[in-house]
Amino acid sequence: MMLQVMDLSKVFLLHLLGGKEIRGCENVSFNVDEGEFLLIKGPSGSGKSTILKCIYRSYLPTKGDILYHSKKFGKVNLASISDRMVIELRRSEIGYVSQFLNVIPRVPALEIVLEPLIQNHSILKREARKRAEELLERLNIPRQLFDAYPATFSGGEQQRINIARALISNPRLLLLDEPTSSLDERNTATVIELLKEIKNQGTSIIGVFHDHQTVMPFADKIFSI
Amino acid sequence: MEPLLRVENLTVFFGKECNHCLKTTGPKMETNRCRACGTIVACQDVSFDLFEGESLGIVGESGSGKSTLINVLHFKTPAKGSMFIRSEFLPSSLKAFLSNHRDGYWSKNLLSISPYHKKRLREAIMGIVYQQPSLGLRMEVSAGGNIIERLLDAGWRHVGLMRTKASELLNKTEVPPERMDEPPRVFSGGMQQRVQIAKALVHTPLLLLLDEVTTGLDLSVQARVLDLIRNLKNEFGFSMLVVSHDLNVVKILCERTIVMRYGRIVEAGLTDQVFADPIHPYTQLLVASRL
Ligand SMILES: Nc1ncnc2c1ncn2[C@@H]1O[C@H](COP(=O)(O)OP(=O)(O)OP(=O)(O)O)[C@@H](O)[C@H]1O
Ligand SMILES: [Mg+2]
Ligand SMILES: [Zn+2]
Repeated sequence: MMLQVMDLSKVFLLHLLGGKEIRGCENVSFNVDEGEFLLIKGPSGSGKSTILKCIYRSYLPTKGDILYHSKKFGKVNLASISDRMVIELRRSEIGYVSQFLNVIPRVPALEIVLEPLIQNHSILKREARKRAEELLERLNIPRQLFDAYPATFSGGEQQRINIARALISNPRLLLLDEPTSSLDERNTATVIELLKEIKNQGTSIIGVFHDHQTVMPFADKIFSI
Repeated sequence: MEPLLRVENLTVFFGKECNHCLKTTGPKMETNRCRACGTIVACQDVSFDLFEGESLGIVGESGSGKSTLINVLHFKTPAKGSMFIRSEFLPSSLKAFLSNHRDGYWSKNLLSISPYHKKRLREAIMGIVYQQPSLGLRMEVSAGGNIIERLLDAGWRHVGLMRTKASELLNKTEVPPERMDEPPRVFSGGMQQRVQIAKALVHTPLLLLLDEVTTGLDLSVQARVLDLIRNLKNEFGFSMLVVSHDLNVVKILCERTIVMRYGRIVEAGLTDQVFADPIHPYTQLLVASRL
């Protein structure tokens, strides 16, 4: 078992609104095996992104456990391990792609993509560059954009930069929040091809897709909210 | 995965101190001034770990104790509590004096070593950059001279070598080396900050302390200084403590963030979590009022 989400709930307590409570997600449980793809479905506002963010620890779960079988640390509960351990896991094992590019301005595309590898210290910069270039090429990013700043890129280009950054360190667990929402058909097909490949290599994927028809054929499980 | 630096229960009083000080101050009381005796409780029970190569952000409004904290770590302000560094990171010339002989793994409590050892340790492993260039630089001495001073302190004597080193460092921080004989007084704000950074890097520090280093600079100049710091950190691999009231600075530079208010830590977490899912009411206010 790669990941076991048990009774996960997230409640946002908004102090500025007089202590108003907003339910992000409630009593969510599911399992994901190695190399499995779990598709999350549900209406807008039902908590799909919240679940992914809790697993990535961008949100602090209010209740429940997120047991992850880590290569580095063995079995850990992502809901309660130290921030430092989460940082290590994000660098080497857990990737996350959101709809929006959330990176530092004025860092060239290629640098953004290879940064996680460099932070791992496991690899020479030259080697990392090569891998980043291959990945960007695979994702149809024109070469002349490699050294440009993604702030001015199109939505679809930014999204592919995000995907490349998440994939560069060969994550064991990949969290996808509408990673193809701004892509055209051709690029969507390229991304899905790439996802199938890494899934076959054993990466577990949990994903939310705006258009599930395209990914349904390769989903192993569906979690509906 | 052990920390490089461990800070435990730092507490700093400015004033004569009475037994109402702790009860009448803090986030709940919305003040850091003791109602009974007027003492300022600048930091209370501040604890955190700093890992190798990590950048840790400290945010909070003015008066929350951020700069006090930096000054304690820099051995400029005395404090109660403790601060340990992993022995293996002690400079070899100081190991014999500063290792903890019972433990071996951690150093002695650095807050209670002699002023002489504090000074030597500071010189060997720390660099600091202040908001005000005049605190970090001698404004009338040439930019190169500011750097050479630190080399002289460390025992360097060969003028040619010192000048070469100074010009290398200025070059790294994007200060044109041909201007190294001019005093920082005549430089722009952004350039003064870059000279400060060069001076802080003289002994390739293990720990870089940054106190509001971009506050008061034009936005485009801020951006350049932040880029420079990011790049230098990637190159040198030092750990950083980044104090700022500007959340954007911390967002760009730091993986973890501590939020302080009236001398206490009210929240600590992964930077993206602190911004996306702030838990403490004060953090929620801080994030909501961000530009
Ligand atoms: N950081 C936050 N602070 C407060 N409330 C939040 C936060 N993030 C999400 N919520 C709330 O939690 C609920 C679930 O939101 P979430 O973004 O998970 O929905 P979703 O299923 O991904 O929707 P969509 O399909 O529109 O992307 C919503 O009511 C949302 O407003
Ligand atoms: Mg969503
Ligand atoms: Zn008092």
